[in-house]
Amino acid sequence: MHVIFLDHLPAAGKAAAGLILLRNGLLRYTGKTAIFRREAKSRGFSRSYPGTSNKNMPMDSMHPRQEPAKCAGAALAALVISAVILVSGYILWSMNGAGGTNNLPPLEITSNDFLFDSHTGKRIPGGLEIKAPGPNRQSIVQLSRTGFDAEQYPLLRYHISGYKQGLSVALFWRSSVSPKTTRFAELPKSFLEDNSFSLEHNAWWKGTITDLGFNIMGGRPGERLLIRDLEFSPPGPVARLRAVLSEWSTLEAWSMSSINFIYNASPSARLSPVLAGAAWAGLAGLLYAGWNFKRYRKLLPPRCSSGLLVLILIPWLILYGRWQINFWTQLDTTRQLYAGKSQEEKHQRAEDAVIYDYAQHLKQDVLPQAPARIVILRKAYRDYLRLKLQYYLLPHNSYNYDSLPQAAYLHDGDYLLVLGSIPGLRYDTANKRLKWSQGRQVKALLLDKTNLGSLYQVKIQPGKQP
Amino acid sequence: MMGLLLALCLPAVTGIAWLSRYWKNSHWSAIAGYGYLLGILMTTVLMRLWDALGLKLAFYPLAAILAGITLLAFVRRSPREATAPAYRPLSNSGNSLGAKLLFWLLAGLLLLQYGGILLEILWRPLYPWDAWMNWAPKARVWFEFRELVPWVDRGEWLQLAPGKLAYTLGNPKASLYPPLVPLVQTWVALGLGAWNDSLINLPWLLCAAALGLGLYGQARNLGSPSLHAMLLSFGVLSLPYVSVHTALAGYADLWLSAFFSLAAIALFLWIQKRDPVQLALAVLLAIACTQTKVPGIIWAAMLLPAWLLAIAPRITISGIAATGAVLVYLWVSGGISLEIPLLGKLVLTPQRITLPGIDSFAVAYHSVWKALWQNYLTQGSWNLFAWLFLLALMYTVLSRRISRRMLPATFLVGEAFLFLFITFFFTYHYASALDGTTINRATLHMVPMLFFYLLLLYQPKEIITSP
Repeated sequence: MHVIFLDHLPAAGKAAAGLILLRNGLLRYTGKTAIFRREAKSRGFSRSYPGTSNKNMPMDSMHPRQEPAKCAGAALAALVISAVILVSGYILWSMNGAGGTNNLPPLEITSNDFLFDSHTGKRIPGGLEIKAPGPNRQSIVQLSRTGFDAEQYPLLRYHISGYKQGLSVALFWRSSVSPKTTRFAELPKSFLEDNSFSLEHNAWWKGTITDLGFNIMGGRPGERLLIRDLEFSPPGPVARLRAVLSEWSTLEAWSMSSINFIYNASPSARLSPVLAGAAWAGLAGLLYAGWNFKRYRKLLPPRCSSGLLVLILIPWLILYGRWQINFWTQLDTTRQLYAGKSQEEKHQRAEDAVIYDYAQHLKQDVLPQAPARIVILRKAYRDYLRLKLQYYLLPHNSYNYDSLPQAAYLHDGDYLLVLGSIPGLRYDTANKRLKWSQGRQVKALLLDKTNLGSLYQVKIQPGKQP
Repeated sequence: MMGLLLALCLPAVTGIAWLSRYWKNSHWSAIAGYGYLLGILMTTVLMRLWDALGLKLAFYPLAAILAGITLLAFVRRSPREATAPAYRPLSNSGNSLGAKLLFWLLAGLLLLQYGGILLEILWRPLYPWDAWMNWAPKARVWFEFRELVPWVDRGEWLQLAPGKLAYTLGNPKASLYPPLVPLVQTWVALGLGAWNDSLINLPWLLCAAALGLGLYGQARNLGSPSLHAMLLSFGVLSLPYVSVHTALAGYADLWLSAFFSLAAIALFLWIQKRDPVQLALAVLLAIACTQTKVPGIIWAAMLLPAWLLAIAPRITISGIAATGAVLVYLWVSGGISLEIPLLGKLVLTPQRITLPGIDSFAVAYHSVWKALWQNYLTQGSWNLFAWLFLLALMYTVLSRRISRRMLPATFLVGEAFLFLFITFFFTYHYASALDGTTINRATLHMVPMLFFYLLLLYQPKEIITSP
């Protein structure tokens, strides 16, 4: 790991030494005499420094006075100072907006404040253990701690565990502003168990709270949820910082929009982590450039590229780390849902199981084995049900656009699958005809009827229009 | 299981075997990355030829042909091929202990990340919207019938004569989308011998790996130290949006991103080093772009002016200026509308643009700056890349780093941004920018190229100009 400099030799000596080094493979001639010249101006005969190798290396990439450790240290210091400045600035800004509520003590919720049906859960120190109500069911837990001014306590701090996908916990309340209307705000899922939830920007968190509690929905039988250490806080700087951290640690579960964009935080985060990361790295970059200028009279000298790498890589890795924790948390949910299951079982556990089961019912119990022509009718032009059903009905051959049949294009034996109710379309059972606007009709047999839809088969006599 | 493994490996083996025969002076990683993508292109072309001959799609006969093509790569080597110069790294700087540790840390993080993504693909049934609306349905039908049954637009489907077989999708335009992606899924299903809408997506993981390997290898071919090349690959593969398009597999955008970006990078390298294999790769992957998505035709077409700029800069600049002048004249004079034989109607007017076989849209300005700001600079899809790219570009302009040799690459980057600008600010696609459904997907196609462009800009000149 040595780089050899030739500047103490006379010109002829340099050439001779260069040739020897070339022959021995210690130096690679790149065909650019300018490179030799530039390197020959370097000081010292033989010097080694980290980050370089003599093997197969163009001379240009050996910067003679690289100072990787020093530059990286300076960049690290710049990042620390930048973080301190930004966090302090945020705290100062938060204190300005606190509106005189800084000295208010937080409102603690003890286990005795929970009011609930004993079948749904039990008290634990500081809170409540509650059973998941199950799919499409809900449990209500009320809090006796009411009568406070909502705007003075906009930050809810809580500890929650067992909050899995499929479960939903929403804070509900009524207040003096709208005493007859119950408002809801769902508590986001997070990779952290200690969380803060901000109601500062909730337009309905106003007036004196008259009713307060949690609405727990869904989950699977046997799952348990622990909620404890609840506390409503005034909007102080620490509480706000905690709320920001909670927003940044909110789980972004897969959804149909994941393929289009990623927040990498709570969608409602008041401060984007990317923006914060850019501000952090940007301010650190300015500080680092200042340090460089003072030391080397250049804002970004090539010899200090290691510092630039630190400035970029650390914020990048932190955002990447957040995304990875999010991904692995999501992967654990995927594992619990699908690992070790057959393809059939996976579809039956998926979020669209109802659609899959309906398609399987039609394919196995009603439709013929050979691919049939199906015209799917639905009021909505393009929605999840009709499109996903078309996929699950494959290899049956579906036409999936209309809400009413285009009778002129129907063939004898075609199937009409009517999803939901369609205004104007009705089935005349006595005459076995589907009828719709302006007296149009087609002869069809009703083959199957479920909550999701009705399947008809078109009957057209050869040579006749429907 | 054997069939599945063969379906996954054979395209890679075929592509790598042929590429390593003709690209001896390349880093192995580029051969692996480009080889896989070429293998996929070859496999889908073979399936289409087989179907065109009227034969039913059958995995093992097709696999045997691919194996035969692979074996051909090892025979009949001319003495010139056998003695072609092997790859020699131009630079290995950055081999300090710290650099080595960082290299392996990043490699380890990527292995861990994509190991998790492999599990997500294996476990989750087909999930994202367009995957089951536009792409997998074709594969399912082709697999069931063992033939490439035609997909037609809705009007044609309604008028099908009895007994005539054709399908149409629930998305009006998607029936006519190019076939490469569903062919890849059909190929895996054929290998598997059953329809499994989790396992058909395994090639997405290989596509991401090919993209990473291609980037790494081309950076090494350029002369970058191994750490710089790893930073480039890590930068792209660590992006949340690239991860999502691999984990929630089934969209065509990751493929188009790999095909287009690696084609552009091969062109950049050809411009720098004039290695004919690089030009051949750019052409082949450009062809693959046109077979992947409709915008792939435009992305591929954009490579042409960049290539012309490299071989005849003065004539090309004059040509571009003349084209610009003609367009301005057409704009002022009310435009033209003409019928192009075999292609269709071309309309270029201030009110409407119709590009035959691509799209037709009314021209009107829509302000989508806010959506652009949100998607690029505040949401998490691209980590800090958009900020870095902007800053690097500003620094580049201020420090006058764009040399004449960088002109074609710079022009291609400009074309790419212009394409997105016109698409999202002047066509009906503005709505999908506002709701965020396509803006990141369209950007994904060029992001790996943009990473490489930055590498080119900040590469020491001596490395770029070395033979």
